[in-house]
Parts: sequence; C-alpha cells; structure tokens
Amino acid sequence: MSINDLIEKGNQCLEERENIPGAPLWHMGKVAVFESKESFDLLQNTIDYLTCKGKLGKKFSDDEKEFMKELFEAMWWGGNYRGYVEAAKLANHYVNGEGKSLRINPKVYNKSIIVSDTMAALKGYIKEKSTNNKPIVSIKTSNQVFLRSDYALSLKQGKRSAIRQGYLINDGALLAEQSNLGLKNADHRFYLSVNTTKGSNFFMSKWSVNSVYDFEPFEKNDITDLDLTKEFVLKLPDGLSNYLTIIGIAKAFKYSASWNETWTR
Amino acid sequence: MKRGQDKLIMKIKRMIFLVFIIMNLVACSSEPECFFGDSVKLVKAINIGSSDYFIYLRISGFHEKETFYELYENKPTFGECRQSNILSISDVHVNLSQGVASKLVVDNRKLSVVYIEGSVQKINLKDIPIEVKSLTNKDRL
Repeated sequence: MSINDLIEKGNQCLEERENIPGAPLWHMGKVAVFESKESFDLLQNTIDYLTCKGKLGKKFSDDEKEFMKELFEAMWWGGNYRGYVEAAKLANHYVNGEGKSLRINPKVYNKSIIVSDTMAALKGYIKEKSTNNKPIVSIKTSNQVFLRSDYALSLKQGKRSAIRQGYLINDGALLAEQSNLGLKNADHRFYLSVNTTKGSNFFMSKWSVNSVYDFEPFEKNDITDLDLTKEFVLKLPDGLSNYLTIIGIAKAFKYSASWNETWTR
Repeated sequence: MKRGQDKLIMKIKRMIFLVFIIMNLVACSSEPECFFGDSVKLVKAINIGSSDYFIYLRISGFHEKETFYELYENKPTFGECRQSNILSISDVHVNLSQGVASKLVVDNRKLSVVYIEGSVQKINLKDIPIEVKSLTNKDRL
C-alpha cells in the first residue's frame, strides 16, 4: 500500500457521507438471493466508513444509527433463516432489548456434546457426594472440588478434541464444540450450574446457564464474517458492534436458560 | 413527511424480502447453513521427517470469539462455514485465561500451547513461534 493510499484510508471518514443505505436488510437480501455486488459493496463500504468513525470516537448521524440498528435486526432475519434461532434472537435484543435480561431456549445448550458430557460427570459427582452425606444443593462447574475430581478429568483439554467435542476449561467454563454452530454463535464459553434436591430413589435437578452478551472493543481487532453467500462475506468488526453501546444504539445484557431433569440414583 | 415515506418504502422492501425468504425456504434443508462464518488462516507448513504438515489458525464465534490451532497431515481445503474437507490430526484451543500464548509446540503430531503469565507483550497468534519437539515412529521411517 502506497503512502497516498494510507493517507486516503486514514481520511476516509473525515468527511461526512450522505449516502448511508436506508435498509441493510434489503441489500443483504439482494446479495443473498441475487448475489448483487453493488449491494454488497454498499454494505461493506458503509461498515468500513462507520468503523473508521467509531475508531475516531465520532458521533453517528441518525441515518448511520438507523443503519447499524437495522444491520443487527437484519441478523435476526438472516440468523433465523440459516437456523441460528438463539443467536438471531440475541443479536436483535442487543439493539432492541434496552439492556433487559433475556431467557433463551435451553435446547441450544442441552443438545450439546460438552453440556451432555458435563451433566453426566456432574451427576456422578452429585451421586458420590450424596452417598457420603455431603451437601449437593448447588454446584457450578467452576467449583474447585469438582474441577479436581476424577469426574471432571475426562472433560479437560488434552483428553478430548476441543474442536469436535468441546471441553471444560481450567476455570470451569465449558467451551462449545465447534461443530455445534447454533451454540457457539449463541454462547461460546459458559458455566453450567445445577440445583439438586434428593427424593427417595431419585434426584431432581434444575440445570442453568447465565451469560452476558457484549462485544470486544476495537483494540482486540476481532472481526465477524457474515456469510451472505459463499462468495460475498461481510466483514463486521466487533469493535463497531461494541461502539454501538457507547453511542446509545445497543446495550449489553444478561441472558439465561434453564431446564429440569429427574434422574435415578 | 419524508421520514414517513422512507419508512413505508422500507416496509415494502421488507415484505419483498420476506417473499425471497419464503421462496428460498421451499428449497432449504433443515441443516443450519453458515451465517456467522469462522476465519481460517494458514500459520505455517512444516516438514517433519519426510512429511509436510499444515498448521492453521481458526477464529470462531459471533459475540464471543475463540481461537484454535489445527494440525493437518495434508493440505486441507475449507468450504462452507470454513469446515475442512479432511479431519485435523490434532487441535488445541488458545485459552487466554492461562496467560499470553508464547509458543506453539508440535510433539508427536499433537499440538499444545505454551503460556506466559504476567504483563508481557502479546504476539499476533498467526505469527506464534513454533517448536517441533519430537518425531513419531511413522515420521522416522
């Protein structure tokens, strides 16, 4: 890249742009269905321009705010369409939820390999504690005694494929298996909690996950690829998504899911 | 007035888009397609014994990114959702809660990451130093 190119790139958002596209969803649809390069370039150029403004800490105009809000709303359409129902719901809530807590469908968790394996390990751990008359009421995967137990051993890195099966991180968080696209895009790393009561010959457990929805700032340089088609991949910097909270378009929020299980001793 | 017209146009566009979606759903399978795609980059091709191996860096997720190294015996191609056409022979997650990743080790065709704790200069994970520790019997042949 020449010095002139660098100067031009550096100055790309010093002058205000007027042609902010009014309906990103429309353009995303045009790219997804008709492979429209014109619409793709318009979207990507606008994202690049707003990223530049965000990095400089500049205010967004009403049209620019509307564009970003609609981009996240468009993810609700795109995410649902492609089968990422919970990730879609979370993206929409980021710009429309006013920071309120959100409950999501527990299926996104309890169909996962790492969650199923951890539930089995925790049940073994609970059974053993119960047999030894120790308290079993509330346990989280970050519990140090559980993490050091034999039950947790087979869940750790080195004992399984992080990509294909997910694993239990040393701080007790579960890392989603990468084949589970629905989970990793809704919640990549999370703690599993369980509240259990003991019956005569059974246990009743309430499993739950509590997470926070937010994005890393520009300094981290993370970028999300939005695959509109195989050829047209929109690059959305996470820093820009984070910047939306600073200019009042979006709010970070807590989200959770829970499910009940009765199991025998 | 203009704002009201704009909103009406937008609503019409959304309705048209809905028709597109319904048309596509008719031909759509129940398997999720890609929307939030991983980013995959070649870190290095290394030669062990008489074989070439390929190390890739994968960054995945939407609002929470996670990073992995993957080791392949042959050069893979990455298709939809950046899924490889062949299975990796080893993979390792970069767990930044353990510290700063300072080195990637290839030992008996298995990957591991060495971390340094404390305030040290972070390195670009694509440029991580790689140490090849030992060879398998297969590699020695």
